[in-house]
Amino acid sequence: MSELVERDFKKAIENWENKKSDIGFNKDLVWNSINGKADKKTIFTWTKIASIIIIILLSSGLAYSIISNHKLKKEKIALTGNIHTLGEEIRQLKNQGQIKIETIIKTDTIIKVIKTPGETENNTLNQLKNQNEDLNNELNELKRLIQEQYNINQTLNDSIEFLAGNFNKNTKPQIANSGNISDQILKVYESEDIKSTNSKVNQTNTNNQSKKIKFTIFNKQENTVYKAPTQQGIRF
Amino acid sequence: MSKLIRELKKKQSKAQHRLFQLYGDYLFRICFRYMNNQVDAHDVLSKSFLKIFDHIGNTSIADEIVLRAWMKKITINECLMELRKRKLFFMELDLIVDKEEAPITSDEKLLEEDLVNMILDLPDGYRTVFSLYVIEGYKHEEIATKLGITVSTSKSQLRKARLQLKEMINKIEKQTYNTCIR
Repeated sequence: MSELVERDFKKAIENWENKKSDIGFNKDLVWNSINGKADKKTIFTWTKIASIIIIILLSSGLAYSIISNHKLKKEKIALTGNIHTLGEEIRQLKNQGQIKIETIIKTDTIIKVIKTPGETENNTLNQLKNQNEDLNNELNELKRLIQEQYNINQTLNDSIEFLAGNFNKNTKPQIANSGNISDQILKVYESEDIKSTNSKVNQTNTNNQSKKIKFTIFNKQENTVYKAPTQQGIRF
Repeated sequence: MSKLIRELKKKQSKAQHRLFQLYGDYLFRICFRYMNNQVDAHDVLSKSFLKIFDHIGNTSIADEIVLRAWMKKITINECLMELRKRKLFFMELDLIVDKEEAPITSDEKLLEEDLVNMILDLPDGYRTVFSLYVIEGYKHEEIATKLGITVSTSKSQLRKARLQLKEMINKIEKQTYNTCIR
């Protein structure tokens, strides 16, 4: 009689599976493998946790940075507005400042005008310079005249000395011989005025000495006074 | 057992080891049946236990039978996920998709050991679909969803598995007949 074998297969397998006989099952190997994988799994779990924490931290950091960025943007907008307002204020102040600066420049200009000589002052200065030059010229002319006078005085002194010598030598004996003419003496006086004048001139012009000499001849008999011509300050 | 389950829910290492000692062999055989080699069975078993330890806290399991069934389900799912990754089920396209092979019959009383070996000798795709359909009791739609294949592929895999098993049974029957005649 035919029998359904598939039930037998099932039963045989179930019985075989429940047997304890060895079919090459290495318990230690499998158990070590399970423990190793479990450890790995634990490590993996910890790695997972760590990575989750890192992700959370990074996410929170990112969120914080986004929020900060948003705040900064708002602040930036506000600051831009402020800058705009300040810019307008600065423009206004600049205009005011320009007015002030212009005022200061005007004041400086006035000061400069005061400092710099005007036309009248220039003219006066020129006139004074001209006058000064004229005076210098006159002074030089005077110096030249004094020198001339001094030279003439020298010449006259020489002449007078010569005349006096000649008079004492020749004329005086003749007069003595002719009578009472002993009282007739040729005297040469230097007036005090001339002396003082000469001394002053001598101080200024050492080499250009000039003298005013009063030359007087006394004649007791005839009381005659001969006066020199009033030329170049010389009188006899 | 309820204490063990409570401790497992608290993820106590000792309880986990105890559970592993209790159900390691059983779950390893399930893995071996699907993966058909020790290395892959070890690998899938360790993954299954990790999943069990992780998810037991989220369940309301208080009974050993329920726990056992839940662990078996998790382990089978892990096996299927692994097999799905390897894309073992679309190796050949059967054109006669809707024609199911009739259930296997035999006049002889077959030994359990032979039956298990026959299943384990099946190719991966046949073995998986046959296990899911015959042993676990899934429908073709569920198998298709779990393995990421079409229903037709599931049916064709089952048909081929049955054909192959029939051949195997026939061989055994012939051998038995021959020995009897002698």
